[in-house]
Amino acid sequence: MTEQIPIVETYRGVGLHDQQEDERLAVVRADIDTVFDLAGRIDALVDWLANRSKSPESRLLAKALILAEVEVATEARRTRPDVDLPWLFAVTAGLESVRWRSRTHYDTILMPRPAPGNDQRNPVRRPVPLVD
Amino acid sequence: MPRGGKRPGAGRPKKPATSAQRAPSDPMPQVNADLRERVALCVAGGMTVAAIADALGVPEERLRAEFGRELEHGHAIVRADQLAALAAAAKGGNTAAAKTLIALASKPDPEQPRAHQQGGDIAARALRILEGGKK
Repeated sequence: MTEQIPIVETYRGVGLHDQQEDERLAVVRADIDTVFDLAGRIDALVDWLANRSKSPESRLLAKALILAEVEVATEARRTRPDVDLPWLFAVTAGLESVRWRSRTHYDTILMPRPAPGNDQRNPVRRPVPLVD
Repeated sequence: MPRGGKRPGAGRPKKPATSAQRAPSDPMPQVNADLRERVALCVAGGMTVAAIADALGVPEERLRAEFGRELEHGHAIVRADQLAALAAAAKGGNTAAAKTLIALASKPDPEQPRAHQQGGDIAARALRILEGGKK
């Protein structure tokens, strides 16, 4: 059992994580808007949640939207979205956890360290590292 | 001179067991519409590329090179063919085919985002899942 990251605000039903500057929270809100717009487009949602440069809150929302699609398809006996669910959980593991969140990036330490260079899918560095 | 004639199978060239054992220079069956259709059918039937290569006697690399489209879109190709056949049968007066087509046509377009049809439902479920945190 890991402790959930405290929520400082709820935006469109999605909790925003603590220890973020106002500018960063604005980015997170914009990300959440984008993800809601992507609802129903599984490929785009998968791409979003695998993109470590996106905010953890929006990536978790993308995962939840995909799982909701799977649920609805299952109940309606439709073909379920072609998504590797274990991979889905692996990619987003630890994003909501105090224990596993990165002190230096808006990401989780369960993922490999960001590749050197200026990869646009690398997680965004925090302006100030978190202190326990 | 041995008596009893030739041993069965004597003189017959030995067939390689798998596509991987075949030399790249092995002759390739003529690529035509029939072969393309067959590859698409194999894909739609769930066969692996290696199995298709073995079944058709085509080296795997060449299969990938020559039939990239069929290997990637085999399901769609076969489905489109079957729909065309269904439509032809329906036009010819086949009631069962016509009914099947109507049923298929009334299904929602899978390419269209369902968010607009079920947006509230999907979003509400997603938020519930998100609140659960564990799912």
